[in-house]
Amino acid sequence: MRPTIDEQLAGAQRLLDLVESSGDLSPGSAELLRNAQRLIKRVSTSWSTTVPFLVEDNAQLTALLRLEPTTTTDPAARNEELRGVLARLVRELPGDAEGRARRAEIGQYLRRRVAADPT
Amino acid sequence: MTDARADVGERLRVFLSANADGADGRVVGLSRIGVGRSRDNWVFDLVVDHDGRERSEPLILRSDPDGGLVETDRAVEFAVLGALEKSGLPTPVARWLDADGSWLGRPSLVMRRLPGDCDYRILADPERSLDRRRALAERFCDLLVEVHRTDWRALGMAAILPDPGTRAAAAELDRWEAILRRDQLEEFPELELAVVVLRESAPGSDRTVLVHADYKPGNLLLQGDRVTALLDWELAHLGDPLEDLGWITQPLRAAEHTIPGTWEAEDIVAHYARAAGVDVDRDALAWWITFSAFKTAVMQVSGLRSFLEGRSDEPYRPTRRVLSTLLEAVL
Repeated sequence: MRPTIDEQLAGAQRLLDLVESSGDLSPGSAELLRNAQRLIKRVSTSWSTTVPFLVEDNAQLTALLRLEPTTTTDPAARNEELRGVLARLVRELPGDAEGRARRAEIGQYLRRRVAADPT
Repeated sequence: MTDARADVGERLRVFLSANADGADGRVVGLSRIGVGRSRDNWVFDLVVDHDGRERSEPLILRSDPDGGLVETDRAVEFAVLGALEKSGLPTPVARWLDADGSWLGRPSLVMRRLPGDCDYRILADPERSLDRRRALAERFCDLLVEVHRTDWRALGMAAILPDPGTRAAAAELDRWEAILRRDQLEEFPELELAVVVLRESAPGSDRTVLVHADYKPGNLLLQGDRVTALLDWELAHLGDPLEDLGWITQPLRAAEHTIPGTWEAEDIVAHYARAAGVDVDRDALAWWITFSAFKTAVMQVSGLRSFLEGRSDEPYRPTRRVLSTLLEAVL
């Protein structure tokens, strides 16, 4: 389907670059433009990998939380739900050896997630 | 004249005319510094005719932003600045306060403008020799020691700022966790883990000092190599001196506070300890460094909310660098 999402984002980026190259922006407008360019660039480099990332993260979270796998049509909503469950678990973990071991396990998962998050 | 400038100019004129020591002045050269809704600072001169001669006072109007990384109380900042006028620290004189924004549209304060330039990357300035940069870095550290030596009781600051006593670390964690709860749009298990670990290991504090809480070259003004002003006291509070030391030695701020190979975090700690005449508790400092990463992440959470609600123009968000640094520290 044309224009593709990538083509539209590239178009928006090109238009913003043209504004930047016009050279007659106030410092304030130039900073706002840079902020918009950063946003477009971030979405351009992450949108296509976000859904696969969320699907994989949901699988890992389901295993970490020892839940039954479920099917969903909205991986983003499911991810938010699972992260909520994980946050509550972290808050409620006991301070004994078992709790600490679980915390370490969760910590390792979170490090991997932060490193893999494309957004 | 832009609409915004005309509006601020008129509000200022009315506001100052209601204050005895500003009533006879004229607002001259009003211009905005900074951009976007995240920063709303205006500089101007107040010109007063005195015995047939004009006297000009350089001033800055600082208004609460609609949104940003932190929300602070302008009235407290005004009171802190007022108390600091007798401290000997290079702080701006606080002139007038519009605490509720009834005059200037938003809570605002007017301060005297001090000379000098601000460069948050001054320690990497290629125009300065390594020796000059090192000397500057030592001066910055010495000034922090001076802040911590401020006799806050004698200055009456106990009436402005609560003294957390020995539980300074727990109190700051409470404060920033509350900000997280207020501003988070979703759950962050990464930050929950940090809260749990920080709560378990919060150190006691053995002395209470005035903490600047955002000490950095970007909040200093320089004329040549002379520090002319220490600015942005909006986060200042009473607490543990290691809070500031942790803030300036945290890895996330290394680009601003260190000179690679010459002035590393370890040099800062050693210099601070010598200048302050104290032993630095390394375990406690490690806690404050971790807390600094947590505070940075919470600031980003607040910044994200401000941006998404249209109150800020800067698209903040908790970044991979900050979250991974925080997790590294708590695990």
